[in-house]
Amino acid sequence: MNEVHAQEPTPENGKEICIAIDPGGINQNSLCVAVLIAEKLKAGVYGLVVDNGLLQVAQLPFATEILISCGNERELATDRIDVFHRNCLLTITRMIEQSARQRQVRYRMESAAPLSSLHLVLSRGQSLFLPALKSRFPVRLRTDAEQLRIIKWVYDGSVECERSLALLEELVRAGITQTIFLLGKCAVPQRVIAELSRYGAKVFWLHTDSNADLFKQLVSVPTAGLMLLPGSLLETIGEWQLLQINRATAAAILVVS
Amino acid sequence: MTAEEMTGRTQKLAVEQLYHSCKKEDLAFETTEDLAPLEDHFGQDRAAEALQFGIKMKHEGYNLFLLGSTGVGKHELLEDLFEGGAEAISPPVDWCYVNNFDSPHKPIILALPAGKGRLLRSDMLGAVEDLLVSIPAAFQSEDYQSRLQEMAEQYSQREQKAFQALGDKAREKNVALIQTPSGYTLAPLKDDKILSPTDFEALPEEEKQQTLAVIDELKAELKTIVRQLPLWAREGRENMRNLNRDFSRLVIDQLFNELGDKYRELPEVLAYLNAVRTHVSENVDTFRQAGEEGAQGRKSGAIPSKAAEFTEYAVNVLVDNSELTSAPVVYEDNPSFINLIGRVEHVAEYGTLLTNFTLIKPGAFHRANGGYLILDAAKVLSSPFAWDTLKRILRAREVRIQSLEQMFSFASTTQLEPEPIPLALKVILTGDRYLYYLLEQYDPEFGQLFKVAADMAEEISRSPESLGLFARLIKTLQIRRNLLPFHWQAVARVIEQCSRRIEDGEKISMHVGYLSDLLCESDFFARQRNGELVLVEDVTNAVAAGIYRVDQLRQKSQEYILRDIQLVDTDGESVAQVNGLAVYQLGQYGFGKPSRITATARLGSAGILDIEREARLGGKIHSKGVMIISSFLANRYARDRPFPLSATLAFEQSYGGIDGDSASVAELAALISALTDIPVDQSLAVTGSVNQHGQVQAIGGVNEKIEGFFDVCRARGLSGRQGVIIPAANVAHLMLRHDILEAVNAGQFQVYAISTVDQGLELLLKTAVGDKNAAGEFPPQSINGKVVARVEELIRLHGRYGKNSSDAAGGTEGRNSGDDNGASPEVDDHE
Repeated sequence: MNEVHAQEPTPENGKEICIAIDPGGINQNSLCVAVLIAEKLKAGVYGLVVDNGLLQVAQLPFATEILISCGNERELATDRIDVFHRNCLLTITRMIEQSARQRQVRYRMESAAPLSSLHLVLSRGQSLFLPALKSRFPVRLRTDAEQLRIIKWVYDGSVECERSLALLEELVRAGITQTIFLLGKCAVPQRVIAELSRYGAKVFWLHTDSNADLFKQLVSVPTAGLMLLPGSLLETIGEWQLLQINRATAAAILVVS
Repeated sequence: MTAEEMTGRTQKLAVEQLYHSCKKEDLAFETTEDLAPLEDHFGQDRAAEALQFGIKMKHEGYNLFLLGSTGVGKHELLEDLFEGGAEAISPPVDWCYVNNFDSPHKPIILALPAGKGRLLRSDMLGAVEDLLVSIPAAFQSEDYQSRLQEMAEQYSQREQKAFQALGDKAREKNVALIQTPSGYTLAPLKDDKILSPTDFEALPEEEKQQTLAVIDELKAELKTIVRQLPLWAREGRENMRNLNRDFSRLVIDQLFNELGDKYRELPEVLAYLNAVRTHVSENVDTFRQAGEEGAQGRKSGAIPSKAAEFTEYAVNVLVDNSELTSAPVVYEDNPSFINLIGRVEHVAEYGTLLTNFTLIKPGAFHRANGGYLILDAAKVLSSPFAWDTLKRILRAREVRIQSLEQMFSFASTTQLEPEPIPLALKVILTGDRYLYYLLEQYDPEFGQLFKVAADMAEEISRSPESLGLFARLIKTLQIRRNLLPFHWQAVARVIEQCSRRIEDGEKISMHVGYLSDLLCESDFFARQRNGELVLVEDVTNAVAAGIYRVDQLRQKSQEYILRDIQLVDTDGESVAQVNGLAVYQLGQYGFGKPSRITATARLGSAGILDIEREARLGGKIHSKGVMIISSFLANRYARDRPFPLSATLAFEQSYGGIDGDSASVAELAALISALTDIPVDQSLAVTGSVNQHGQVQAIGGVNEKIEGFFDVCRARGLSGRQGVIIPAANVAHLMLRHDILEAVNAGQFQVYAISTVDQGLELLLKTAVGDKNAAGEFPPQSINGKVVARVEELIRLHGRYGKNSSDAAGGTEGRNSGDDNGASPEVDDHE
């Protein structure tokens, strides 16, 4: 356990957003979005470094990797992966620390958690933030606020959705979010749309019949900078599917508990 | 025989002949306030006409050379000529250098109508500012962002789909596709969990082999996908470029279409604008980045400041003729190589000298293009490479900016090769006559390039009309120099001084520079006494003060004579000793000084030996004078018999060299005195050259010579017998000082004018020359009679000592006929 405290943060003394950090695979810029959301929710952030199992794979006697730059094959060296992870983690920690101090948000870090602990996070009542993954397409880095201009929100009428609504109201009122796509198979109350439209946000409702349809809508264009999913959805689609959505888009995902 | 008795055959000059004064009737005004300033080129009709001709001649090579001495008023004449505006040789244009986007080291020249250069520069700067705002704005638009995002998604999804499909296939075969920092790897799965090394080792061998085979198969597929990625990425980048181009084109096209409409009548500018449009389209990212930086910078002035950094789109207005109302007339005071053709400057950046087309600076040729370039010929010739460059440009009719380093291949820094500019101008060289004739003689190209010579008059004849115009010239200078008005007597004195300056009482110097100086200095003295008018005494004071400032050497020289350090008699008689007169020229100032000339004559065959020449102190002209004397003597006294004479001539106490033939009369008198033993009157000094027939010819510096002897005589006390003998031809040149006039008027000093040697001999030797009688013989007591007797005596002696007797002096006949390799004379006794 490795903890860094700005204001004596503990899970007990306030709400927290847990950021699941795969040191080698995330778009580090999207980490600041998590801090911005935490600021709006008056919550703290909790960096959870997840183990992607790569080190274990590297210990297999036949483990090799195919290099994406040239298609050549080479040995998957444990040392190289370890050094890479540690460097990435150092950068990520600094970014979160800097952003959190700037926005006066509590934060702490925990490393070496297994991937399966995502459920555990939600079960503890914490919201889960999956940063956007790295993209090899040369897209200009956007500011925190720019990443939140378009949000896709899965609405299922659960209590988590009310919390999501509160967050969206904050973002719309602050002029950060301008477009919201509402997705789901249940009807969206008029008051939700009215609340969001009051401060000028454009709200679109896209009805989905099934989870497959929902999945398709989430990954299709127009692309959002953030996807808001209710924690209850995770129980339905499972961690694997959640990670697939994360991989398929350039958007970060916030699973609201 | 006294000098007074001789005046029957000579001319004793009256006071009126010694000074050509300017009379009231010549100047019909009281002060110069009554006069109108001169509007014409007074006295310079020939030069002005030549200039007009040269300017109007449109053919090649009709450049001009305005020749005249320094200060004669060459520039004033040119100013007058161009005062009302010069006629353009070609319509005035603005010359601008712009970037050559294909070859940046070869900037392109644009010729725009006058005033358009500045406008284009401003338009291009404005265009860059607009682009810095509008391009980032276009790329920040939601439309662009969403399309870019869409493109990124498409690319990402294409990649993801490929890996997803492979991952699903692998998962079905219990293999996981895992991303690594640098690529992908494959690992065996069991119950959706990656097998640890221990668990894998625990598998049955057959299953292990099967798993490895599956992994190898998937690996091959993975490699196939990965090798496609660069192609997809390239495709993605190309799509993004197209997207950027589409968005930027909206902004760029609108801007450049507007500019194109504005300059539609200028095809060269349109071509340039198209090149800029293409270049901007290809470098949109630069504008995006700079525009965003500018917008994040200071609120005001950030974008203009950024725009100034885009030098590749700048317009270097090399020549701005927007405010020109007539053809340019450029006087380049320092016609050095780079000042003529311009230069390309460099700036140091990280220890390296860099340049670009905005650092091209114009030269005099650029500024004068379409008009006239005035250059001082002497300065051009003395500036390294300037003369050759001037000729090359005039021949080629284009100016190419090229540094000396480039010309000589010494360049070690980045160099430009700017496109040459076609030239249509006339070059007016100004300079002294000798320069013009030297160039004519020695530079074959000069005559082809400078076909018009405008020769300035240095003097004009004094006539009532010219005096009136000259007075108006004084009025013009009075206005130009802001001087006090001149009283007519002051004007008269100025005119007289201008005559004196050129040693001619019947002419006036046209040296405007000298005239202007004299007027200013006279004005100074008038103001010193709080006068409101420049009076004659102010002019006199100005002249005297000018002389006094440079007169120290004359004073010292006279002092040596008065202290008998340098021996000059001004009274009494001496055999073979005559007072000659020399002029010492110290720049613009000259003064006269008497000098003792002596001679010896004895039996021998060496002829007349010029000691000055033997000592290499005499010049060629002086030697010529001595040879003429020798010839005169032989012709008069020994035409049909040998002349066994060894004579010598010397300027006593002369150590600095001498030249000229103005001492010929004096030298001849000394020789005759030596031959006849008749003493020479030392109260007289003589100057004049002589020809083989005994005629006396004009000399130079007559006024200074008379004044020099007068000063010595006056210092010792004027006896009334003293005087100077001058050639009659020089009487017209007399403009003597007023103190001499007073002395002559009082009978204390005389000036005699002679036309023949005989007249001079009678004055100097106080003896009649003697004419031949019917028997062909001279009277025995006459000068000629005594010379003949001496010649006969020498012949007799020569016969006695035999033909083989050698000359004791060791001289050889004809020594004076050789070439002179002596040192250059410092003293000039001739004009």
